[in-house]
Amino acid sequence: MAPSIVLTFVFVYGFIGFSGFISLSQWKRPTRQDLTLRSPFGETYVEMFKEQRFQADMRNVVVFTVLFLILTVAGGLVMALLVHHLVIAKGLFRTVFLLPYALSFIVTGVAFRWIFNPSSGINVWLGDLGIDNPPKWSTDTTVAFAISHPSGDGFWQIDLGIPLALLPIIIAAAWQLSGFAMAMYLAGLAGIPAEELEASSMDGASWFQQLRHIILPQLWPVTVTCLILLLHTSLKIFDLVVAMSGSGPGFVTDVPGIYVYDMMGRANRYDKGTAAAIVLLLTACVFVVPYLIRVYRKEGKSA
Amino acid sequence: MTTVVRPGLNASSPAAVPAGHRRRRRAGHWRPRNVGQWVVLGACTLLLVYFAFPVYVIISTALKGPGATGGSLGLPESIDMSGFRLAWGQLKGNLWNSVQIAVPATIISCFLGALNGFVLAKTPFRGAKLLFILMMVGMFIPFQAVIIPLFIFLKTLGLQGTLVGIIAVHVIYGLPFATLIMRNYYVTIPDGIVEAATVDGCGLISTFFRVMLPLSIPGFVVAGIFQFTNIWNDFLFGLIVTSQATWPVTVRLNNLLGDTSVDYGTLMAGALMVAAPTVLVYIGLGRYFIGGLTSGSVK
Amino acid sequence: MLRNRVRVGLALAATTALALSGCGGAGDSGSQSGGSSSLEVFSWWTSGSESEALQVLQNAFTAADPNVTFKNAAVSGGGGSNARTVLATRLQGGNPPDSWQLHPDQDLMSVVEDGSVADLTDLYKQQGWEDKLPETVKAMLQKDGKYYAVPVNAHRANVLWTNPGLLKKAGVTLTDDTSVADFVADLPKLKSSGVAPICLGAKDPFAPAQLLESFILANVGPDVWKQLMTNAVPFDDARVKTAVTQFGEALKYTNSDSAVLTWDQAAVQTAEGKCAVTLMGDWAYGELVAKGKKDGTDFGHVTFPGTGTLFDFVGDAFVIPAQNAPDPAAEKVWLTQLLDPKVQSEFNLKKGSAPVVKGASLDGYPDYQQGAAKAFQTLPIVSSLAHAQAAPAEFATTYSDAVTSFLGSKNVDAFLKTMTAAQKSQLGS
Repeated sequence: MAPSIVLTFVFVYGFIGFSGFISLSQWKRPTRQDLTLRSPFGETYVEMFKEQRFQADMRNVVVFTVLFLILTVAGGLVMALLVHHLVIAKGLFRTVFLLPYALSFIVTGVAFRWIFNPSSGINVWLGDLGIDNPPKWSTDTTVAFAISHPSGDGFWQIDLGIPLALLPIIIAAAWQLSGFAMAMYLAGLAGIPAEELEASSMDGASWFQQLRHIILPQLWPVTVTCLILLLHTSLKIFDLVVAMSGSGPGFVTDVPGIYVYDMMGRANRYDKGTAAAIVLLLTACVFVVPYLIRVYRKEGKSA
Repeated sequence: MTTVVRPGLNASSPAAVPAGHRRRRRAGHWRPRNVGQWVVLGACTLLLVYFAFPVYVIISTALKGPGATGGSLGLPESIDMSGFRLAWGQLKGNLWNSVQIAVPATIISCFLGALNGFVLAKTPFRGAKLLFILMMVGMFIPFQAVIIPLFIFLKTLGLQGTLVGIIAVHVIYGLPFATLIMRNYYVTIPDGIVEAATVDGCGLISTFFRVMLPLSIPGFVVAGIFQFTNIWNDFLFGLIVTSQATWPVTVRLNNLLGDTSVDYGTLMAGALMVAAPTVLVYIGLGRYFIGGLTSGSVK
Repeated sequence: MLRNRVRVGLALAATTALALSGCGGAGDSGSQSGGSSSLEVFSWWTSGSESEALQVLQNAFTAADPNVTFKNAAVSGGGGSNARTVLATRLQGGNPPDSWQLHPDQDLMSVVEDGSVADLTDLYKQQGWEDKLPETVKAMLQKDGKYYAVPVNAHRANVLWTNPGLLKKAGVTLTDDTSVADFVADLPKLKSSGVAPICLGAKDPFAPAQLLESFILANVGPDVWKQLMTNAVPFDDARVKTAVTQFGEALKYTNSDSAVLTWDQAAVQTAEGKCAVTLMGDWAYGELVAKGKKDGTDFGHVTFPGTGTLFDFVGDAFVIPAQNAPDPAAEKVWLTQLLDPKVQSEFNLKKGSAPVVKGASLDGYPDYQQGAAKAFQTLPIVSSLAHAQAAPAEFATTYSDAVTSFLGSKNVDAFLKTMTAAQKSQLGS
């Protein structure tokens, strides 16, 4: 047990600390290590937040996460309710719904890239149906519902809205992970005592009322777990975006995961790369740490 | 943590199946009895089509052979297997790399996870829970946060670009997850067994090897499935820690995507080859997969 | 008790690791110093004509040294965007290929300053190359009087490939003397004749970067261009602003699926009549010919309007590593073959570029390439920024990213602000 603890501490906490230190230093070119602190302190972060590309990245990852979580968790719940009430072929449906989870994001990305290719893919079918201007999917630079359109050189350099180009990626990610949410909800549903449901239906409750007052509240812990597990996947999303569209025109599909990789390999800016990674980490921690604390406390109680 | 799964981890039949259904099933034939059940079946079928659609796209495009072009989501007009041959030629070295990476890494991390899980589940010591939580953090971090120091570290040790390097990386970062699964599994094994062994004079190590290990098979299966799937499907570590000669097949597949003019037929054939091992594992051992999901995470 | 467990765990891990290092070593002996009889050459030449040209070099090497296997480690992705990252990982990891492709001038300088590439001055003296290469090219291959790379060609980046039929139909004439303002004014005319005027292969980030570069060159000329690269002239100069505005205007007239087209697809589409013009370096010429298109009938060419009097130079060169070199002897043979006059003739013919060594014959070269070779010898030469030749890697990446941002936002002021700030912080004074 002890070596595992040491390993974890070094490789997780130690490395995170080192990353943090690099992000505050002047180390840019990989071959010219320069760990002297940059002044003013944290200037790299300031520089990064002023960049158009990084602002777009943060906007994209937030939009992606929110829409993806809604779609996947709600979809998983619906699927779980349906499968739970199936009378035949439960196993078959469950297996097919969960199959995408076994695939690599790259495989999913390849398939969906082809499906959403603007000149072939489903646009061909849409064209056959008579739709003349099919969506441009991931090549679309439109940012819908934008609440600001900067045109000069103020702080905000991006349109703050929902980049339409993210939609195919969100759909692909939801396809891949809804089955996972469904599996968790199925287990949760199985844990709801049958007597409660029978008692309430004897009292004349409709199915919908049962859902609202018994099932959903009891599924709340599962929902939270689902959200956390999926959230941490969506914040660090990298493989899927790389396979589907790369950074996209105007960086409409760029995400911090890609930014870190680019800074490390192409742009020779270790300091910016680690800074972006630390920002990602802190964003994840905001949600994960309270969750883990809750788990720890519950552990203490149930022990 | 209340677990929903009993030892044995046969999670294919949910615990609270309404009694009426069970009776009906035993009666031999059953089908939707009322409108509601038909609606459910119909909705599920629609969803099935939606979920199977991309898989269909992959297979049908692969069968169209190299040079598949637009108008392309329909069935192939003629079956051309040369895409598979081309893809195999390009990917076979990397497929072997992936095997060499995933199999040892899975075995080692599951074994170490079992050791850790056993200690955490059966030997209460102060701070065990805290340590466990701290280890879990390793599961939740975005890996980008450690990628640059990791790269430097491996380079210094001369392990960058080698298979040993990436296997070690996967073991270390897969350890928290394996520990979680094995610990949850061991929690469901009655403490009495461990006590009996101690009374019989076994130390902790021999208890582990003689008593727990044989009982751990279901746990190993679950942990193994998950680790194998995660490691086989990994991309980020494969991209950064390996070198061209040791690229896992996911990285190579993505590289084929970047070709100046993408040949989707061959690409899809390649995607099938990349997906095949994990899908086969999933189909063969699916119920453990599902059981593992629920046992590992429901709190 | 804990110690026992620690011991068992560690022992197991160690044994497995030892066993695996045996496997691991066998598994990747090709990439590390084990491969003593192979030459691994890294490039991003994966398109049709590029692969054929690389094959010429491979054949020459194998003829000169039949005992060594040639390993083609090319990584796909136009303009080398993917390849650079893969190469960077390898170099940083201490695992270089035997030889890799790069551009001279600043692209080369970054690896020279790292100490990653070997000093080739002795080889130069041995082969007498100093007298056989043009002065301008030599200047881009050396630092402090030492040579570090062997050049293989000279590509011209400021060429506009046209579809003669479509231009005629729209009543638009483009010659080497057309001004850039007239060109922009002609774009609506081309559009009204029913096609997308400009084919842009924006899937490759360097393509729009190169297009903007052409606009800038047309507006500022070679001398100011060089001053832009040394921060002697700021990017928010009025002439550059005009160029960026014209670029924004031109973007309105590009094909709608540019984000999924690569540079070679865009060139082929121009020849096939899907659009009227495309700006691309003359590696597109090699590609069009390899695809069977005929100069004069299927496609035509002019220098990008406003740049008829300069040569926007993108060169390819090969280097060998300074440390951890897998096979130094084979590497020297490889480099020597590259500047053999016969090899140069054959290679450049396929590649669409001009040879750099004296004595390489231009017999059998088509008209376009003969013209380009002459232009290379007579016109003022500037280095391309879109290909990381004119400025260090960080600045070139900033430029490329700024162009990508601009594709989405069309915000001229933001672009200029980013570039000017980058000039100050990255190019120094």
